[in-house]
Amino acid sequence: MTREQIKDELKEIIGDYVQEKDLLNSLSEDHELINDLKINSAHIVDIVLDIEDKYDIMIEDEAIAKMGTVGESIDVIFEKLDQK
Amino acid sequence: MGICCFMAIISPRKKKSILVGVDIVDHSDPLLRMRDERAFRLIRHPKDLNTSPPDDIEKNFWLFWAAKESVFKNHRELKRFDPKIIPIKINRQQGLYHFQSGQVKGTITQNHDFTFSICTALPSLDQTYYQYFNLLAQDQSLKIRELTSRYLKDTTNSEAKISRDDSGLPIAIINSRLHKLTFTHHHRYMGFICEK
Repeated sequence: MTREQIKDELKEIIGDYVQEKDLLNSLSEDHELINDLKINSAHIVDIVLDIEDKYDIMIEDEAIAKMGTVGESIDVIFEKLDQK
Repeated sequence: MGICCFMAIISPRKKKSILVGVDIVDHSDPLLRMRDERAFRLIRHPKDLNTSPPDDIEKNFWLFWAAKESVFKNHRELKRFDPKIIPIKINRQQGLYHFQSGQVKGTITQNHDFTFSICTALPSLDQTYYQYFNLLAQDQSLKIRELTSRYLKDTTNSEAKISRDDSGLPIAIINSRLHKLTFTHHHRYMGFICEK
């Protein structure tokens, strides 16, 4: 699975929580989930759980601090998929 | 001369920094997944403690989440929210949840509809203005600023407006004096807390 594929799938997951859908059109790895995509912080836990279900992986308990941006989230998914 | 006078009026007071924090969670948000043990592990600090936890783990989760987020905002730092590094001790007295995290103390109101947490490093929450609102607006962020400005104006009988400090964090200007404040909004609910 390529980084771009994971980015597309992540876009689908976080898309549910982004109110201003236009923000998804120019999604970059530098985008912060809360500050840039304006995702409500309460939904960060939902996103982590969605990712775990989607890829059948268990992300570390410290995920919230590690997955602040789109790129960081992709890194965490990649790392976990590598360990499977 | 004009600039000096302006700075004298709106520069933050030099006395001990007074901070306030707030968070609200709307339980009716359809996008919220169940908060079970799997979710709890993502926010738990080893020293977290609730001496009177509700039977429902989900309600307990939201007590800790709202308390941690309000404490994070209280510190008014421009860094990422990490609930796992914020220890919270909660106890229940006279139907209200009280909590402490270091020097910061607060209360949490929780019912079927929402969880609302407020906190401060001040000796008492009586030294703050705070309120929550139930309103679904197109732009919640803008709406809470409007409602807060109106609330402060009505409560203090003074001119009140919302602005930002040098770091881009919100402040209230009441009678030309700066007051730190924080906002929260989630789904149908929004709220604020402001130092008096």
